[in-house]
Amino acid sequence: MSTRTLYPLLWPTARAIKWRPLAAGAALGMAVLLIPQALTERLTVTHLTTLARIAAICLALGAAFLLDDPATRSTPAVPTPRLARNLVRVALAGPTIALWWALTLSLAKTTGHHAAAAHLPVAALTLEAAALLAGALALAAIAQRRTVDGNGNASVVAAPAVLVFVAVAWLLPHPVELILNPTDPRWTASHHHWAGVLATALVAFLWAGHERT
Amino acid sequence: MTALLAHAPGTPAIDATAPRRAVLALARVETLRMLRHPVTVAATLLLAGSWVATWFAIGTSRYPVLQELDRDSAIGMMILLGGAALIVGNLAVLRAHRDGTTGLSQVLILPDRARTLAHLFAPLPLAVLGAVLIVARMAALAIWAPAAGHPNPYELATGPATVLLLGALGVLLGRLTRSAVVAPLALLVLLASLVALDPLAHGGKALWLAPQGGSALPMPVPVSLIGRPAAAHLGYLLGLAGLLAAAALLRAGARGVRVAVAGVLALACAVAGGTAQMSAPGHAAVAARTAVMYHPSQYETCRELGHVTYCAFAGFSRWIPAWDTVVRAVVAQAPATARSAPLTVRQRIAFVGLSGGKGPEQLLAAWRADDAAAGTPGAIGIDTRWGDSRSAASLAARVAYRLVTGQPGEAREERAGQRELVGATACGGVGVLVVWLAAQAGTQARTGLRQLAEDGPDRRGGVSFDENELFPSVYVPAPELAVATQALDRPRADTAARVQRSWATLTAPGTTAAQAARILGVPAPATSTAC
Repeated sequence: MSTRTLYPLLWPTARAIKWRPLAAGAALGMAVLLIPQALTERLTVTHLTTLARIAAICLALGAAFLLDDPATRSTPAVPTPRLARNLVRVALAGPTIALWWALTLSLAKTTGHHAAAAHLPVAALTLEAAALLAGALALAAIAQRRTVDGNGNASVVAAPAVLVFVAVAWLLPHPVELILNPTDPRWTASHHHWAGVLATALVAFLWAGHERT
Repeated sequence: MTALLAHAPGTPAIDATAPRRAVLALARVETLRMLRHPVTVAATLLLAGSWVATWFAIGTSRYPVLQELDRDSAIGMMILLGGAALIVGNLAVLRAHRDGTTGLSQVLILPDRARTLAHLFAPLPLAVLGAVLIVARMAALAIWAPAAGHPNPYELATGPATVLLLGALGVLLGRLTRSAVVAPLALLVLLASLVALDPLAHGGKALWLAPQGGSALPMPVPVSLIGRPAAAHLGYLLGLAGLLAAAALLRAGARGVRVAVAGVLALACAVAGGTAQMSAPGHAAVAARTAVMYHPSQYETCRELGHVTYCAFAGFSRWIPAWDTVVRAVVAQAPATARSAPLTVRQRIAFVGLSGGKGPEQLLAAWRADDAAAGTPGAIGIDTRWGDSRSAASLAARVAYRLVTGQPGEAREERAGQRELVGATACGGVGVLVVWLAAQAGTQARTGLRQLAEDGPDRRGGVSFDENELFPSVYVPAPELAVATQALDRPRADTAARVQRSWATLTAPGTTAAQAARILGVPAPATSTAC
């Protein structure tokens, strides 16, 4: 694989990606965080953190559709490995997603007239969002790998799987809990767990990118 | 020829019940698929698992208040089972499109609208499963735990009703759009509404229009004071579910009288329920809350165990043995002379915003008068939460203060005219003794004491023992707390003997923390409190 083979892939892949679910997730995520903030000043930093998490889940749901490819049945035979094709898709969507997240959080911080908005734990929430996103992509890649003769809709499995993944994360008990209030003394420790989730998800994404033999 | 046609097997014109049977058969298949779907299985396991985990993780769940848990269980069910019904129902409707068989299904005997009807029936068994789960939880808690009160059946039924509502929403979304991302996003909107609607509506009645209903009271209260329009809300939810189902059928091409009648009935149900739920809580509920808040003794039943009288609100009397264990352990450490006075532990609740702007002083005065009228002056107050370490430590410390000083700890305004309340300060030997005695009430009280001392809300450095979230009762300053903590690290029997021997000196008002430290054989504190 060289960049010379990847470069011609960019434009057709960009056209083949299902952008609509991602756009819907991104738009809803932004609305979920910014609309309540614009309407009331009674939101605490806990409320804002939870809403930012829901915004990140919206985006992760959209990202679960990123690897959908109606031509899945024909692609095991092409010389470009699936991992490379998946990485091209992620590379195309990644910058847009990062920009969206930065814009959403900065809007949330600047438009909020109350003190809670200023205390939003941006770095920690970005780590959580990255882990959720990587988890969604890993689930999509695993779903894609499992459907040998499917119709390329990895998202049918991946999108509900993202929600189940989130539900499990939400309900994890002490001492492995992931969802905490920013005021909780175990906040930092829980973000070490989030970093672990991110690393596991990335490894799973890379592993699942290999074609089954 | 006509006879031949009449005997042709399976023609719809002949067998009038065939479509109905086909719808039921399809509904049966879809139901099984929904129940066996990995998302449904995961959601059911997570729901049951979270209920079991709560039992082990949260102390107060060992002493559950059933009239509060019914709403909690219904909301958990809405998110997990309702979410599963929404997503799985939506995926089932979109199956034909996903598999590219939409054209093929047009030639089937069942038209689109009949298939939609079958999809709408599919969440019914899941709702029944939800009802079984929620009833099983309540029964298990009522039988095996010292549960207070009883659940509201209507409140319990809102859980399964939300499963139906979200199931119908999933089918409708599948009929409106072929994108599989819409249903999961709809679930996230619901989640966001759980977070944001409460501050947005500011506890207003508009909150009842959301599936989760109005916000709960800040603390558990007796059943008679809840005043939640649960029955009207259930009607509203079922009406909404019917409306969504009718909309899905309309969208699928159903144009019959029956759909119209069902839609109108559902609309009437939703409107009637919706308006009825907005009118609560009425003046009667507010009056009842005020009466119970100001005159608790008139609404309680009392029970005497040893020298101690325990007065609990209706439904809460199953907690008395647990309170008694703590109180008895503290009393046992005091010498016989200090134990002779009769003690009363009385349950009380304080509603914020019901005092009519009169301030906390009036409520405290009303409680004093109420105690005097009931013949139990100086009663020790206790709130409607129990089972966690802090509650145990707080009760133990306030009983200890009552034993040591002969007075119940009572809140007062920190500075005259200010709303900030502080508890009675336990200085010198009294403070040391209060903390040491509180720690004798068992490991739970000791844990609670450590938690209160470590991250208690008190900014002055010591530890505050509160009757409830509004009223602090007893405050022990930092030097006294330090002496008591050191005394607790020493051999228990030796310290207990010293306490028995020097009870009179330790409880004398003039004894300082340094003197108390000398008596108990621990180093004197670096600072002292000005009392």
